[in-house]
Amino acid sequence: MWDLIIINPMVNTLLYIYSVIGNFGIAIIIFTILIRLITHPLTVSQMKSAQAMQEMQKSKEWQEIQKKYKDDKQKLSQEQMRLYQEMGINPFGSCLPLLIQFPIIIGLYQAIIRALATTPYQLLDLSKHLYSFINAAELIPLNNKFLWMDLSQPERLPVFGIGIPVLAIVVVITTYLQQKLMTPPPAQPGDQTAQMSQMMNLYMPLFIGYISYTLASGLALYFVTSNVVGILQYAAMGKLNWKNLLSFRSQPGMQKNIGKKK
Amino acid sequence: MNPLQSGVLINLTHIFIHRKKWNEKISQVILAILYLLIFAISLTACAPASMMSNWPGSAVKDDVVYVAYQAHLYAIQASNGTELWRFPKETDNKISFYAPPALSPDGTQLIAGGFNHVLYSLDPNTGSEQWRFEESKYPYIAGPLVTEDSIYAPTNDHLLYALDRKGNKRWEFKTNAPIWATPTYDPACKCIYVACLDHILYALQARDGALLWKTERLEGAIASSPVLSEDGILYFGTFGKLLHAFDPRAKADVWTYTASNWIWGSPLLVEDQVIFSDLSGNVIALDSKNGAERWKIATNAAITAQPIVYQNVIYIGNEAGELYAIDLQGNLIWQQPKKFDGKILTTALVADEIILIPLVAKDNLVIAINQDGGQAWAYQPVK
Repeated sequence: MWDLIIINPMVNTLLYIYSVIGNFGIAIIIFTILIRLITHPLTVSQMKSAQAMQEMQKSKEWQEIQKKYKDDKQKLSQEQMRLYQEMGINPFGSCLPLLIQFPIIIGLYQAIIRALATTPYQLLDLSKHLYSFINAAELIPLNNKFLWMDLSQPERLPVFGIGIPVLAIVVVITTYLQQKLMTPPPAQPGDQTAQMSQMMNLYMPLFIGYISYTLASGLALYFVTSNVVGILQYAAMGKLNWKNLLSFRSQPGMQKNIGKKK
Repeated sequence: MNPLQSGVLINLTHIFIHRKKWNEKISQVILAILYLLIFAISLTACAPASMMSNWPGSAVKDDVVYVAYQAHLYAIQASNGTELWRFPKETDNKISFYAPPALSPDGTQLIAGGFNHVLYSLDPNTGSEQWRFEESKYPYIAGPLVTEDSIYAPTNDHLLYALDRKGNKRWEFKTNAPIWATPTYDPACKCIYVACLDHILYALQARDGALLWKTERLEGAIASSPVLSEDGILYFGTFGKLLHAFDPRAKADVWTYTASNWIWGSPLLVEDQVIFSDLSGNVIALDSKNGAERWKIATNAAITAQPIVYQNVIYIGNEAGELYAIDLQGNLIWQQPKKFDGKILTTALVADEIILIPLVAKDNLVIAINQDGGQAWAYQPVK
């Protein structure tokens, strides 16, 4: 079912683009942009829900119930739910579009890996996922070369005999930039959500960078493209948080808050 | 924070932290690790099992069968399935084998290409390493061709390496794509034929690798070795569904036959028939002189292996794990194919009057059967 609905259409679209363009690197870039554009309404919806949620958390009423019921978690939850309902906010409103996007992102990754097929077993697997309009016999083997990279291998740019993982570094930078630029200002700077957010801003680029360093560079190319398109999408909506880009320290309120809790 | 995490963080973290009063720092770290783990698992959860893997490669000499699969190259006694040795002795995460190994004509060397880009020469009796060749930057998919004085090892880095029997490079030849087929030696011209995924068949001088000729770009990639008949005709199939009977002297097809799907495995020449299979699961026999179809049997799954013949019975397996026994007239010898729990993607072997079937399976790596289809033994590598 997963293959039928997600993987097969993606693999065939990717190969169709490749058959027109003749370059697998550019095919990955175009395909990633295409997927991001198709899921753009979901991105907008998710962003609006998250923003509405944050606005609500900044509201006086929300702050008051936090204080009032800080020792009664059950009551606090009930009051929060009441507030959600009153303000017409679905607490999972920003999760749902995200959940829909998630399999698409995973599918995109798998489609790229599957299409690269560097062993007979992988190619046999690929042969079962091809639609009749794809002239696979003519296309295979795919030209995996893109710039200095072999998209089926981890990327290293030889500089004076040392292999520099340029693309993995670019992935780390763009993932970091994306996270920083797209993170809205925290509603409550000291709360755990904000702290988690900061932690993820650090861990996620390193984690994605490590994946890019170790796996096929076609995947790293997808990450870079996806990050850049994501930033551009938010920029087009005027939602980039430039102030956040240069803030490396915890916000003052955060430390104060942590101190209080301790 | 990208759209992937922000919504989850705002909602799930909120719910999570209000349920239990955990130590702040610990809960943050646990949550961060949890998110990353979910992301990592999701990336790979539905990934094809074939990722960075392949089916076993095998070879046989007298009563020993050699099987390359995953972390080891195994030597197994054909008569009873006893493991004689494995290389390397201890599992090394950086080393794996899938390419069929090849024995030297004098039986003193077993040449095996690794997924770790290294070509090894081993003692066939003990599995001890004699030398290694480390110039390739890509895995070995195809088995090498080993002659009296040379080793021809194709790689995934678009190169064919020619070495002497001590592992010293003599020459290399570059193609336009990976080579998945073992080269074929033609003593008549002292040349080798190299079938390549770049849709081209090359003829090279065996001594120095000089290009003698090459075909024009054919209709599809060639994934298996051409088979040379006694009268000097080359038979090979392509992903373009064509089986070629090619005369290397005239550098032209004698005839071609169009199958219904990709032709992956090498054909088998028996008497005056060319027997081959396709990915639709058909086993087809043609008249070797003119390509006329003699018989055709449809099986239930894709076939990538070359058929083998033993005592006038053709044995071929498919991806569904079914082994068929067919006589030379195209009649099924067993009413039902012998079914194994795994995939048969590798060419079967014969040793000690038993048929050896390498499998892609959870447990058994090799199953040995008698000619009546009864199981003689099964070999499962001890982890």
